[in-house]
Amino acid sequence: MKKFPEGELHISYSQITVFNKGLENPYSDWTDKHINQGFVWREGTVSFGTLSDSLCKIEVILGGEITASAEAIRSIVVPFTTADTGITISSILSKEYNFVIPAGSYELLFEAFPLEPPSENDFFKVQYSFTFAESKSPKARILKHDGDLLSPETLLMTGEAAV
Amino acid sequence: MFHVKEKKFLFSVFFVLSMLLATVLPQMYTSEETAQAASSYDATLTFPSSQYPYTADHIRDAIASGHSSVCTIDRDGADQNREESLRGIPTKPGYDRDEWPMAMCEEGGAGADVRYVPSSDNRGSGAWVGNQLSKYPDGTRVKFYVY
Repeated sequence: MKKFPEGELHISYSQITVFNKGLENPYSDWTDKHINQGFVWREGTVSFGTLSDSLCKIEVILGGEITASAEAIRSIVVPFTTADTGITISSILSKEYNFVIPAGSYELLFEAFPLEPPSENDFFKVQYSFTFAESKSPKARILKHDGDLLSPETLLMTGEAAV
Repeated sequence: MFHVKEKKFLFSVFFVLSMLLATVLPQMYTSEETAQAASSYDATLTFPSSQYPYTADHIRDAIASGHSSVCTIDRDGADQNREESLRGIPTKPGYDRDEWPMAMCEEGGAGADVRYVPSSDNRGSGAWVGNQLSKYPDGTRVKFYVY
C-alpha cells in the first residue's frame, strides 16, 4: 500500500473531481439523480459531491482494502480505469494535484471525514480520501452515506461533459 | 480665376484627401475601441442559458443590477470571498447558494448577489465554467455574456 503526501484544495460548486490527467473537459453535468447519489461518473472522470465549499484536505492511497472506514460519513465506490498519464484531482477553478497511478482497472473508494463541526454557513474542513484498489470486475456501490444523499437501488452510471 | 488644369489638379487633391480620411478615420476609431476593450478584459465567455437557465437568470439579473460582468480569476481568494458573501444565508436542501460575481473572482466577496439555485443547475454550470476557464491563470480578466 502506498500513501501519497496529503494536499489542500479549495472546493467550489460542491464537487471534487478525479480524472485521467490531460482529459479534455473533465467536469460533468449533474442531474437530480446524480446529486442524490452523490457522484457523476463517466469513463475517465468522476465528480463527487462535497460536504462543504471550503478548503479541504485530500489524501490518495494506492492499494489496500475497499471497506468503509468507521470515521467516514460518506463512502462511495466507483470503477475507474486509469490511463498511463496518471490522474488529477481538482475542483472548479482550483489547484490541480497529479498522482502517478499505474494504468489499469481499479475500484476507487471515495470517503469523506469531517475534521470539524459544521459552521453557521456550512463551512467546515473535511478530509477526502481516495483509495485505488486494483480490480478485474469493479462495481459501483454506496457503502455509507449521510443525510444529504439517498441510496438508490440502481446507480446512474452515465454522464455528459459540461460543454 | 483658376484655369481648367488648375481646377482639375485641385479637385484631384481634394478627392485623394477625402479618400484618405474616409479610410483612416474609421480605423482610428476601431483601434481606440479595441484598445479600450483590451484594457478591461482578456477573454470573453458566453454563458449558455439554455443549459443552465436558473444560474443564467441569476447572472443576467446580477449584472443588470450593477454587479461586474468581468471576473478576474483569483483562485486563492475563493474561500474568503465565499465566507463574506454567504454570511448569514443558510443552506437549503436541493438548492445551492449561487454567488455573482463568483467567489473565485477578485470582484466577488462581500456584497455579491446571492440566489438559491437548484443544485443540479448550479453544479452543472460550475462544471461548464471549470471546463472553459481552467486553462487561464490567476489574474485573467474574463468578460461574461449570457445568451
